[in-house]
Amino acid sequence: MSVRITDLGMMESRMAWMRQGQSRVAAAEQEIASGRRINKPSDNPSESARLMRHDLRLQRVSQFARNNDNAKLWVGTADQALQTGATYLERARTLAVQAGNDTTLGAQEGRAIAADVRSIAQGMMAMANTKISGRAIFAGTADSDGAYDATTLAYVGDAGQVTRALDTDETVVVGYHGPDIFGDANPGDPMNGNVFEMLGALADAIENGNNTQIRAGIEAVDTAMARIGVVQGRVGAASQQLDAAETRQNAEKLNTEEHISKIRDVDIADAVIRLRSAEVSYEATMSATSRALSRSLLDFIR
Amino acid sequence: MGNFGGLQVAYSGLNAHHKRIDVISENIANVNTEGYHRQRVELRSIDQASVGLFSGRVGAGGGVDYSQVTRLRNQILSTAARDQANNAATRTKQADVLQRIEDIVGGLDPGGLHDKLTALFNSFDDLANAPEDSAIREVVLRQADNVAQAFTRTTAAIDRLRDQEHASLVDTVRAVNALTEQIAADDVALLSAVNSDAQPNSLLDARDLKVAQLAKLIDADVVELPNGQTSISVDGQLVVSAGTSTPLTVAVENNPALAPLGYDKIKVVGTTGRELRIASGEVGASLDALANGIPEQRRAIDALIADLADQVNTVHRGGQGADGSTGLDLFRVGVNTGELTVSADMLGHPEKLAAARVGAGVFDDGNARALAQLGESPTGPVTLFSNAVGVLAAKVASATSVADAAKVASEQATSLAQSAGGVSLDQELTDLITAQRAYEASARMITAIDEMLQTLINSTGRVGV
Repeated sequence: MSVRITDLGMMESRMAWMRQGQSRVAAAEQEIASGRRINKPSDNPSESARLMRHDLRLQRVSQFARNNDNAKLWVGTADQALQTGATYLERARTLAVQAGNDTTLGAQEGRAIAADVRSIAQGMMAMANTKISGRAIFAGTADSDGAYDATTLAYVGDAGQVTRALDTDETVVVGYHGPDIFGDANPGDPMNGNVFEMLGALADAIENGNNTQIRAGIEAVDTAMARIGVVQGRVGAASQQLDAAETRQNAEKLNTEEHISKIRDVDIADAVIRLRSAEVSYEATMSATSRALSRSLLDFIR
Repeated sequence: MGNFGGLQVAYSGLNAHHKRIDVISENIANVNTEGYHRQRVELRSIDQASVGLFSGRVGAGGGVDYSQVTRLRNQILSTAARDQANNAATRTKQADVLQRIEDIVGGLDPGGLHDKLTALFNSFDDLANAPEDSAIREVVLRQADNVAQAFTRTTAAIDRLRDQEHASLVDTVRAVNALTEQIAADDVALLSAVNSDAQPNSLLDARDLKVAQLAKLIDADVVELPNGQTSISVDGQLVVSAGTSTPLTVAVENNPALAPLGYDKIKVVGTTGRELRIASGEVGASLDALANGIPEQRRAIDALIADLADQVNTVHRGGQGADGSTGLDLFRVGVNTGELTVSADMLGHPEKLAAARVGAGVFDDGNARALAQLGESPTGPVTLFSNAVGVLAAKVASATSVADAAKVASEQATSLAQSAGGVSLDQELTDLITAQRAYEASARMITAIDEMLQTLINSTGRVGV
């Protein structure tokens, strides 16, 4: 069927074309202004679903990175505390050896060395009760004032393990259990009890000039040092795990951000070209319309 | 034919072309009038035999008949345009409602539900990192409250959308009634015009324009009667008949399927109170949104709320608060209200947040970790939410593209109808030239006959004088 061209019809269809052209220009402009290709899920349903998945993962990885920072604080604090403990024990051993070897040691000097050992025991106690924002790091999951009671020398924490999540299915142990570091209490036989009982017994032995006990004490200090050494090894491993996790988390964050950006963000060069071409076609429509609508037979007949 | 017969013929030619010029000027005057159909004078030669009792020689004509002015309207194309406009209005309205629901639910907007949910599950990890920190516990409760409020706001917004849609349906039905009333009034005027043998073309144009407007609002069956009147019915209910109109009304009815949402069934009824099934037009799309589209989305959000509360509460109940409390729910779901709140047990009691496993140390973090893991679970609340957003987005995208296509189809159908009935200035101007020339020629004929008669009257018998 041949289509008659009528003035109203022509005007309406030109207006529809111009509306289309205008909305294409507006869409391209909005893309550039917002910097986003996808502003609403319906702009691209399947890409939006991916976008939300990536976004969730990004948020989770960022949280895991925060967990990692928190874990580093715990592991770092534990490492420092253990280092201090090892130094204390080193010093206690030196003092014990000195007291055991020096046969000319008088009672006065013995008391002075014993006092040194006791102050080392106090230092160990302070170290054992190391806290991060008020929470004792060697007390497991217990809500106690510290890991050890300074008077009874007993462990007041519990056997709970403190962990941090580094990924959906990866955790790291950051809280070390007091008895693992300081040994189990043994009030009946202090020399074979925990570090604090043992150091107390050692100080007593030095004060009393009991060489057998001093020798036993030196052995006990060695055992205590070995115990701390084992935990230090675990702390070192945890620290390595944290570093590895951090590298991985940063890489994943970058990758995910890149994915998100690829899906969501406008390729500016591409968008500008599309805007230009939309503008050109819009202008062409307008110019064609202005020519077509201004022409009628009236221009040619008299 | 007598001697003066030729004058009569020329006179009819003058009149006919004068009439053509009149009609052309009417067409040109209405070149931009919406709903105007161009008119044409139907010229027909008059058989001499038919003119009078004293018919003369057969063969020569009796002039031109110009009494018929037709309105060039293609019935089929106009009906097609009306149907397409109806479809476009339906699709546009459907897409519009879905887009508004999409705006309410969000999904990609910063600070929207998705972000709030993610923040909540992340905060459970913060809680696991420091169960001893009461400030962090407060933060977790606040995040939970944010999520609860955001969900409650979403269902409330959907309820509001429904109320708005109800109000807009009432307005649209009112517009339908106004149109049917005007159409009926036009029909009365038409009938009297037809009875007095006038040609009520402009009345017909005005009425057809209203019928076309009506088609956008409601799916009406339009029957054009031979007497020029219309009979319009909606699902069997006559709304315009023999120049009288019947108004439709919007009624509200209790419905067992919608009652759990606190919704009523909205229907359009005729005179007898019978519910009319209206499938298309703005009214049809509104009814569909009220009966299906909006309740469906409300149910989807309600299901998300129930899932979130259920999953979080199950884990939370299995844990232990810092004060030793166990078996407490974190969230409470309002019965049939689409409302989500932090449970009264927990409000203002951050210490009751069950970060620890039952029987473990006070500062155990196992349960908080389990809560945080729900965040990334493939069946967890966040994933369920994004799935729901994806389903809605696909619906919106397809509804929008269907609406766009329907609009284009409607524009095309309208332009086809327009091409049959619209005014083309070029054509009118060409017609004007032929009419003008024909008029001049008719006038010239009168002069010729006059001269002829002059010869006859003044010069008869004077040959050679």
